[in-house]
Amino acid sequence: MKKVLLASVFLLGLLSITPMAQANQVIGSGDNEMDNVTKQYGLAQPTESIPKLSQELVLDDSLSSDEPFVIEEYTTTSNQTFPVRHEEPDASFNDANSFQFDHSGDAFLPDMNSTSPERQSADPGFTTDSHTSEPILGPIDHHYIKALPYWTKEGHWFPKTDYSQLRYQVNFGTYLGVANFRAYVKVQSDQDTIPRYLRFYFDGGKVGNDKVIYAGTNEATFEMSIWWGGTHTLTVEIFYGGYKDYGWKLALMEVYSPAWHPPPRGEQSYEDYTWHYRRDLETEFFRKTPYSRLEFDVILGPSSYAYIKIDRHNDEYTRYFWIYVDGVKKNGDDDLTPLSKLFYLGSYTRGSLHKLRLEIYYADYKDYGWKLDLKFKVYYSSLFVEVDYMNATDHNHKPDQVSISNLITDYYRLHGAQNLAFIIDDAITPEITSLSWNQHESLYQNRFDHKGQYGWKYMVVGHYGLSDQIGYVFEDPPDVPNDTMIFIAAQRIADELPYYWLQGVRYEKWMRTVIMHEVGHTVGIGIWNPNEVYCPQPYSVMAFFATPGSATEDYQEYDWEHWSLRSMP
Amino acid sequence: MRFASLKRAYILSVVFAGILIPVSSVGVRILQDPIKPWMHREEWSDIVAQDPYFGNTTLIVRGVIIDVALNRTMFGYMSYHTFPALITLNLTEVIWVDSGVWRARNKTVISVGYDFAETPNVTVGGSYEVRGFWLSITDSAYSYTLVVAPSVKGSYIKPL
Repeated sequence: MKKVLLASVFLLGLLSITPMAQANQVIGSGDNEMDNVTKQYGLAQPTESIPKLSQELVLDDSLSSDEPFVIEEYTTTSNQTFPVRHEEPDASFNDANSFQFDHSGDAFLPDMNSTSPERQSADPGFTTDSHTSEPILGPIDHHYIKALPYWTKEGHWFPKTDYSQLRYQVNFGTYLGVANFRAYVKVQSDQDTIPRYLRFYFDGGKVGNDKVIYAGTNEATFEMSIWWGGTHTLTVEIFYGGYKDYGWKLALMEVYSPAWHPPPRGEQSYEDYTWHYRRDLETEFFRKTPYSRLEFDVILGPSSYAYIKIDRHNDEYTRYFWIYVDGVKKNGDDDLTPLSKLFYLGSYTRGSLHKLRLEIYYADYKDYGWKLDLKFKVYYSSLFVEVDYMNATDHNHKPDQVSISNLITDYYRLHGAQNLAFIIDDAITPEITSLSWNQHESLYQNRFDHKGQYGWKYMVVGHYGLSDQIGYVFEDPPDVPNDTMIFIAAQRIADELPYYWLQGVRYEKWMRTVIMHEVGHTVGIGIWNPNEVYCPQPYSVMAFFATPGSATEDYQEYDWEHWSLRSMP
Repeated sequence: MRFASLKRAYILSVVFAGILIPVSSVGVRILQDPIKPWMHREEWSDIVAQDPYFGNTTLIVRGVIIDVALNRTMFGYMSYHTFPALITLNLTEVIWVDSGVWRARNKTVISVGYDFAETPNVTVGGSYEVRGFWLSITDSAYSYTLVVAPSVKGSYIKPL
C-alpha cells in the first residue's frame, strides 16, 4: 500500500513538471541562447548576412495552403506591376476603385461612428428613436467587445411576403432561474419606402410592442426574460412585407446580456466579462414554401467562394440546393440537403456588391424543415502571407496549419468578405538563432518570393529576433511596402510558456494571438499615439499580453474597434 | 530487516526525487526569468529598458517642440518603459538617416524619448536638433520614438 502511495507521489511530481518541460521543448532545444546579438538590434553591421541561398536553402515548396488553386488563379490574373505600397493603389490597377469596400460590414456598426447628441449623453446605453423620440435601449459601446461575425453580410433581405420573417436559432446556455437578454435589431429600407411594423418573437410569442419603421435606417431593441437557458427561436418580422422585392433588409442583429456595462473609454481596464456577453446566432431557418430562399448582399472579388452548411431540422427527406449570384446559378442539380460544401462563385471586380441567393426545393413539406449554419462564409482572395521558417537539426519553427494558421484564416472568413491565406513556404536552414536587423533585411530581399506583388506579406517564424520581443512588424523596411514583413520569435514564446502554463496559456494559443496581432498591423489594424495604444480588453489579440487573455482562449479574436480599422487588399 | 531498511531508503530517495526535482526545476526557471509569474504588469517596468540594444545613432532631425510630457510611460506587448520626458517635435528638417532604419512616411511630427535622468532643458516653441535612435518596428516600448539616452552614443537634444 505504501509502495503504491509513494509511487503515486512520484508520478504526481513527474506529471506536474511534464507540461512545463514539454512547453519548453515544443520547438526548441531548451537552451536559452541569449547572447549579445539577441540583446542588440545589430544596426549598421554590414558584416552580418545570412548564408548564401544555394548553400543553405531547403525548399519546402509544397505551398501547403488548404486552397492552393486560389493562389494560382490570383497570381495569374494579377498585374505583376502592382504598386509596392499597397495602401496607395496605383490608378492603373483595374479594380482599385473597389477599395471603398475595405471595411466590409462596418457601415452597419450600430453606434461606433455615431456623433448624435444622444450618444454623447451621460448614459451611453440610451438613445432615442429619431421619428418618435422614444428612448431606445441598447446602443452598445463596441470599442471593447469582440467583432461581430459577418452573419448578415452586407444585408440580409426580408422575403417579399405579407408577414415577412427571418427566423434564427440561438442557444442561451444553461443556468439556474431567469436571465434577461436584449435583442438589438437594425433594419434598412430599400425598394419599400412606406412605414411598416417591425415585430419580434421569442419561440412564437411576441416580444414587446410593434415598432414603426420608416424609410432609411431603423434601430430597435427587444427585452426578453428567459428561464433556464436552452435553445430558442427568435423571429424578426416586418408587416406588411409583400409590397416589393428587396423592400427591407436586416443590417445587424445582436443578442446580448443588458447587464453588461462598458468600462469608461480610455481607461486601462480589465473588464474580462465583457468579452463573453453575447449570444451568437447559430442557425437560420428556411421558410416553408416550395422554393425557399435566403438572400444576402455580399461583397465579392477575385476567386470568390462560399462555404455553406445546411442541416436538417424537421424535414426527413433530401432536397435540391441551388446557389445563385445575381440570379445566375452557380452549381448543378446534384447538391442535395443536408450538405456542407465549398462553392466556387467565380471572379468579380474586387470588392463589388452582389446578391447571393441560397435556395432549397422542395421546402413546403414542413415548417422549420432546414436551417443554415450561420458560420457560413462568403469571401474572395485578398491577403496572402508567405511564411518562411527557421529549421535546425533537432527542431523547426514551422507553424502548424491545423492548430495555428487555419484557425486564423477561419476568423478572417467568418468576420469579413476578404480571405487570408497563409502559404507555408521555405525552410531556412541552418537556423539563425538571433536575427539582427540586417539579417531581417537580407531575408526579405532574398527569400520573399512574392516581394512587390499585390496583397502579399512576408512572415518569418524564427528562434529569437530583435531584443526580447515576441513578435513585430517592420514599419518601413527598405525599398518595400509599408508593414509587410513580420517576425515571430517562436522560441521566445516557448521560453516564456512555462511561467504561464498554469494560467492556461498554450503554445498554439499564444502563437495564434501573436500572429493575428502582427498580421493585423500589416493591414492597418492598430492605434498609435505615437506608440501603439493596446486594447484594454485583454481577450482581444490587439491587447498587450495578460492572463487571462487572448492567449488563454481556444479561438482568438479581434475587438470590434481594431477590426473595423482593417484595410484589406 | 536489512532488506526492509534498504527498501525504505530506496523508497525515500524516490520520494525525494519525485518531489524535489520538479520543485527545484520550476524554482530555477522562475529565478532565471526577470519577469516573475506573480508580478503585475506594472512591476515589469524597465526590465526591457535595461537591455543594451541602443548603441547607434540612426536619425538626426531638426524641429520645433510642441509639447513636453514628464514621466511618460510607453507600452510594448510585454513590457513598458517610463521616459523622464517625452517630447513631441514638429519636424522641419531631416539631417541624417541611417540606411535601412528610417523611411520617410510623410511624418511631420515625431516623439522624442528623453531618457537621461535629469530633466531636459528645453522649451515649448523652441527649435532644436535631436540625434538619437529610431526604432521602426512595432510592439516595443520604444517603437516609433526617437530615443535620446546615455546608451545611444552621441545622442543629444540641443537648441539651434
